[in-house]
Amino acid sequence: MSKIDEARERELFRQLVDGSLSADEFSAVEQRLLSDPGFRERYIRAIDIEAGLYEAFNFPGTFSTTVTRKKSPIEVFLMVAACATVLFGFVGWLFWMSGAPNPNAAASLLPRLKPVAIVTQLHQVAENPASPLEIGMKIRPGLLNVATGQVQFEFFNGAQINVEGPAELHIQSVDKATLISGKVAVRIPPGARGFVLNTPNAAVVDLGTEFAVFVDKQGTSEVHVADGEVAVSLLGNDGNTLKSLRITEGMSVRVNRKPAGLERIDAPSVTLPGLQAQIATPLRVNEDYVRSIRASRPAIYWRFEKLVDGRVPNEISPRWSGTIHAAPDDPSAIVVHDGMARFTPSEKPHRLEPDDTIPGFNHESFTLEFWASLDNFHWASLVAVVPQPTAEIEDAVARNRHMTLIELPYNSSFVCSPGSFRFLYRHPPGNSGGTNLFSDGDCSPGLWHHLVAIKTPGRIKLFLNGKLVRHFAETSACDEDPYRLLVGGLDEGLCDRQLSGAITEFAVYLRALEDEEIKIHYRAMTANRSPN
Amino acid sequence: MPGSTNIDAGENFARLLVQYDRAVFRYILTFVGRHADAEEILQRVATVLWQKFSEYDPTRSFLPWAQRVAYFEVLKFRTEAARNRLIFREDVLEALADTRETLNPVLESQKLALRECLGKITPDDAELLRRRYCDAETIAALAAEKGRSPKSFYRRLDRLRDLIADCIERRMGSVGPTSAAD
Repeated sequence: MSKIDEARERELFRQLVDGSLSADEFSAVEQRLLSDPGFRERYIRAIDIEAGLYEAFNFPGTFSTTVTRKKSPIEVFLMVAACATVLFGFVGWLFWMSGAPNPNAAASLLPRLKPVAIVTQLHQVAENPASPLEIGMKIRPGLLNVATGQVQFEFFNGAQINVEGPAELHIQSVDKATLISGKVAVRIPPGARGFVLNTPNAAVVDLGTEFAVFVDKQGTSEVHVADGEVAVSLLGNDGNTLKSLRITEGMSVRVNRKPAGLERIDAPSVTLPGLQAQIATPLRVNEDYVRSIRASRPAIYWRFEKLVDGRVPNEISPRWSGTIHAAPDDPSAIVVHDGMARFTPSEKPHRLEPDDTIPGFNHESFTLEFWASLDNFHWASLVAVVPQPTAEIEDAVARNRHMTLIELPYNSSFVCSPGSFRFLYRHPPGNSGGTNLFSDGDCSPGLWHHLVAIKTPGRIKLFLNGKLVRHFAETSACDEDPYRLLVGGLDEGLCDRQLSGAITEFAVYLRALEDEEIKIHYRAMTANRSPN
Repeated sequence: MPGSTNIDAGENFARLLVQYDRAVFRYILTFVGRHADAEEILQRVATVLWQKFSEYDPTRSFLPWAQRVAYFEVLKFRTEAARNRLIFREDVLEALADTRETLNPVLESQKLALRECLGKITPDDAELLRRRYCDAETIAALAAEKGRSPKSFYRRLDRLRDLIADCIERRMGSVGPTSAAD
């Protein structure tokens, strides 16, 4: 075939896919498809390339390490099944589905599948411009192929998985995935207990632990427990448990296909990956940012560059230095180093707090601005603004009334996208009520986020990374009471919602920052580079 | 399967469907050409596969079973949609189905070659392809962003598709011609 004929033929196939052929042209193609086997083969191959391109850019995970997926009708179908299981019962849904007059009815119920996880670490993953993979990228249910290197991501329920290529992983939901081949390491925090990792012939049900799994090309699985305990099930042809075994720390088991069986082994036959630590690296702060903050005249500005007399100095005035409140035998609860305050949850209450209350904090308007990096998804209180405790209230819970909270909810009763920051304004201060603003699932563990919360007498606003993400207009009461700021902990005497992560460049303003000022601050930090 | 209380069967089905949905999509696209039609048929196929899942023999491969169901759904779709759009006649569909089965190894090799070729394109070209295959309407927007005419972008897109097709041919050189047509 000449090059010209080949070019014409390709153009013809493209027109066919685009639906731009006339009826006569289409009829001619039909005739040739019937009469010319070579043409028929070239047509099938050309269409399959088209399908591959469509697949690569709409469902990139099927082609490479990229995992951002566009809505697929099949995904919608599965998602409806999942929702129906919870809301109505799977059987009822199937009955409805089988009788549905419109086959697209299921799709119309859910316009888009929601992400279930987020990429947190990449190591030696080959770059592919057709489908880039980035830290912070959200993952929807679907197929993830990792050719080389390691891709670590965190499910919104807190489960962490590190996939080492070559590997193929089907992500089914926020608490379930299937390893088709390759190696993964899985860590399940208490809040995500019950996570299930399937393999072609086995299911590993977490009982609160860290484990690793290898599936070879023949579908034989090996499971090794690094910490805690898991239940390994050999699945029968019906997909149900045929045999099961509980294994604990340091133990390994092989799940054979032929003959089907569970076999204890001394150690896995390959070196299995572990989980990468998710610790914040120092925020790279430049002088322009510092100047821009000073120009906005905060009342408090903590930079965490050093401690003076054991306190975090306020860069603006001698007042309101930051005092670390932690038990003497709990020195790692709050550590100031590398220009940040690092918080580690413990069984004892701890917080960072100005050494004096702030009179007139809610006289009219206020702004809280800081950078935060969280180690993982957990219910983390970043900042709490509370009134002076009333002497007559003895009970610790009753004493802790909040006017403002900035936090990351986790497994909460709030209706919001997983991984969203929350800004609460509540007046009068109390234990419930108030108005919430949520970001849109923007938190990415391990990355620095610029958060700004503003309250004025007529509006509350939440900014994330220089952009206004939510605001709400309502009359917000003011008062002349002195307030306390608690950083990294929700309450004075309780261990609830302790932050695991770091905070830096913490500023408090006794006025509302202008939108433009916030943009300037963010741009000053990020000019020509990522803060992370 | 409707009426069953076996939720595990549903999970098993979901796993298989997620594993093979793109392969079934490619199969369907052979017959209908248009992406939107193929996605709609795929949705119908998913429903039918679930309804018939109790008939599925798990000792056999899922994909051929799913493709058989898909072929019949294509025929049904043709009956419904042939009045207002161009869809191949049944004898053409049958010929395509037969030929496609013999081409499976070639298509698998072609898929791998496409993956390698896509790994070599520039970010700009990747962006152009992404706009074309995710949302064709944004080609015009992309042209406006770059201060160029949409036509020039469509020409570049065609050229890019040609380059990818050539790249695939080169990479598949060891596979050899697929028929006497070459």
